[in-house]
Amino acid sequence: MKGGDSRKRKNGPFPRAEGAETPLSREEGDGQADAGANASATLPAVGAPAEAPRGISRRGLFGLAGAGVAGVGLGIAADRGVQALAAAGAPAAGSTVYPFYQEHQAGIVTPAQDRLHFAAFDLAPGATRADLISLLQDWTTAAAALTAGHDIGDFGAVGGSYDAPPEDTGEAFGLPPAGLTITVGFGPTLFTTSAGVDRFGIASARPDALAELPHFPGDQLDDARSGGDLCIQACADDPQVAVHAIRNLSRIAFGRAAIRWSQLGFGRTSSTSTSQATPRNLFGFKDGTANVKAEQPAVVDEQVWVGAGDGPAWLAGGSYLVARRIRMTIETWDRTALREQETVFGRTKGDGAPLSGGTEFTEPDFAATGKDGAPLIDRASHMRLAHPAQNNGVQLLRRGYNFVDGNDDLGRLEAGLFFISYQRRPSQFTTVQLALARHDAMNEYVRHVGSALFAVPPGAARGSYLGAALFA
Amino acid sequence: MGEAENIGPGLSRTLVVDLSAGSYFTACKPGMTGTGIGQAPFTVTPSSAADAATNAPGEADLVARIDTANTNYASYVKDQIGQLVTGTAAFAAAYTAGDDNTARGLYAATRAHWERVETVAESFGDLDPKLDLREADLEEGQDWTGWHAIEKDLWPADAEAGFAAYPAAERARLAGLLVADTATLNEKVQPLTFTLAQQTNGAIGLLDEVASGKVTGEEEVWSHTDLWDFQANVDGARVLYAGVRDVLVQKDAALAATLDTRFAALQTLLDTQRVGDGFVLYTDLSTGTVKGLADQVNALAEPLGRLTAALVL
Ligand code: HEM
Repeated sequence: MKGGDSRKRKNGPFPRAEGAETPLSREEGDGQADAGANASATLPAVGAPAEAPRGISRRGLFGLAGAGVAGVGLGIAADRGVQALAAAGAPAAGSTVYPFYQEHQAGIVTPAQDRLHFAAFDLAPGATRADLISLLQDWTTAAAALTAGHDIGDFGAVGGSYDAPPEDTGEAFGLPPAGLTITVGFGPTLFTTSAGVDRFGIASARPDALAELPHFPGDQLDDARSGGDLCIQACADDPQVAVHAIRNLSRIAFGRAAIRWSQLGFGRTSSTSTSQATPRNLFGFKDGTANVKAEQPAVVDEQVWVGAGDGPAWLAGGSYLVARRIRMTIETWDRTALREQETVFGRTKGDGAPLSGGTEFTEPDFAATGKDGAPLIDRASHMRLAHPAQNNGVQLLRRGYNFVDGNDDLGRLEAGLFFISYQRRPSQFTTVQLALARHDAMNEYVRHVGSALFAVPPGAARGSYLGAALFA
Repeated sequence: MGEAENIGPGLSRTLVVDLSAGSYFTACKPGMTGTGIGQAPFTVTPSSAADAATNAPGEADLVARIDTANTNYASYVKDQIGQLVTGTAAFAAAYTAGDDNTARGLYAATRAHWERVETVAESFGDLDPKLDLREADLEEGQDWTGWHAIEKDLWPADAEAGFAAYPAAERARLAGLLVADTATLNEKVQPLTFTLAQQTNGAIGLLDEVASGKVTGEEEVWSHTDLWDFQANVDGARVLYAGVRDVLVQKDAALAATLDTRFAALQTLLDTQRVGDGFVLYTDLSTGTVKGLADQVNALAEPLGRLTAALVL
């Protein structure tokens, strides 16, 4: 025994059996239940379940096709949140819904939401190709429901049998969709394990570029925070909604895949749309100024989306995701003079203007020099080294988040930047990171402790699932 | 047909019932008497041929199977507690006599009988703390008795500085209480019978025990024999599951297939940690091995959580 009484099951280990409710013979197949009319599937005498607000309630509204081995009943996709939202009239705060079934996965050029929960998964030992496919199908169905603001499962958080654990964990019950996006990626080890095993018969479909990133000078990578067979990036404007997504998706995966590592991000460090104000990272600098933005479709096509001729066809329209957990030694940084801080980035701390002059969005002039002939934008500054002009025109779509995971044993904040970038080729990241790792003045204040690379397949078509073309 | 009870004023509860085609009505019976108020008629039509078919084969047959499962489980509990009584006597004798080696050798194997039926054993609220309390669970000033108090004395290696071995009188007292309380437990389990829900929830509860105490190494903090308990909890859950499996196959064959596979996979993994009659000590397991075991426990516990709802109609 452990934990005294607190761990006893609610009714003691043997709750009485009388009065136990029974599972409803499942609503048939196609999820025809009406998103707005919660009461309709319920026997009237015992009352309707609590109404969630405005007809975009988080309730499970899915049929039961293919529930099979999944931990919870997952049905065929019925992406009705968007319709429900449209019917509900004027959007309220948090009601943003990004369509799930699209050409490209959402969560890349989508205006960067405020919060992140990112998780990397490893497939279970002994998992089969069928397990992997069913997992991706179940994730797709659940992701469509979650991003539309629904609970997962047939009966959701509170509508199911009184004698079964609820299908949906419930902490997002009644919350609006909050702009949730769910983005799924495939790591190199999904195709071939480090021991060279092709577990799922997809080794030959691995793009050459999907290989472990090289070791960069200064890397202090922790294996337990690196790599992974699969990843899910959940971004939302409400942290509870993002965490709910990862929690439920990992619950669905039990037995087929388990979390390897995960990371919460509490604030965005990037803008991916010109409609957004530039946020700040934990060094206090505006971050995302010169990022690739959704409003530059030509640049996005050139730099972010994998082209049809780039490699295996299944990845066309997808992208590569690099994740780096970068710890900041902020205590040291905070003792650094403002002059030094601005020199490190090559921008002003207040407005984020380049030190060569102008305002935030003025193009930097790397040739401009000061009175002693030294460049106004230091040669070792982060911006100069990362700029396309220094990197054969290479650009990245950055989508990182600030994190503070408590503190370390010395009482220092366990803080940093969870760097995420999307690019058409991993070599874009490698080029920039190599330049930074060698020369960046910022290195004195950061340490890369986690690293992962994933191929992000294109969006799923309605009725299909993420990554389907890989298994065709 | 079905009911939901104990619904407080103003609350709502979803009633889920499995009905054959026909006309029905709902009614609310405040105080559980009378013909009910607010009657509302509704009609059920067959949802599919398959549904009609699964409900058909002999309800009587089902009832008989459930009956057998109940009887068998009651015997299993009595048998395990019987063996616990015998094993405890031998353990207590060795411990009192100062034969620590023999006592250490008997400790985990004897406790396995307790762990196999742990959800039943700990349902007696007064006996459980006397027999199975860990030091961390103690309240200020509480008398610490039972298995774990003796465990610390037998394996003092990780004890706090200044911990002194118990004097002979204390050993005799603890051993005597252990034997006496186990005898009381034995008396209490004799008349027990088990409903279907008690059995299915027992299986679920045993896996919860594994997930919260054994796979974390919190149960046997001095002897580190957590994997013995782990195995015993899984044994007990498997017995419970086996008792109702036939019925489950009729009601939800897919769930039965999943549970079969997951029970087998967990056992296979646990078998890799066997050494002789026992297991690797918890403290000798690598983090990776523990995570593998924890993942496999989640893999089984998640579908197992649906067992009661799938069976109790
Ligand atoms: C703790 C880690 C990091 C911090 C605090 C940081 C901070 C910044 C800041 C303040 C800017 C200037 C504003 C802007 O244009 O967004 C910037 C720009 C940039 N950073 Fe970082 N960064 C970090 C890591 C990285 C990494 C790992 C890479 C890629 C390997 C990277 C690539 C870039 C690029 C491409 C730019 C835009 C340069 C330009 O075109 O002007 N950064 N970063």
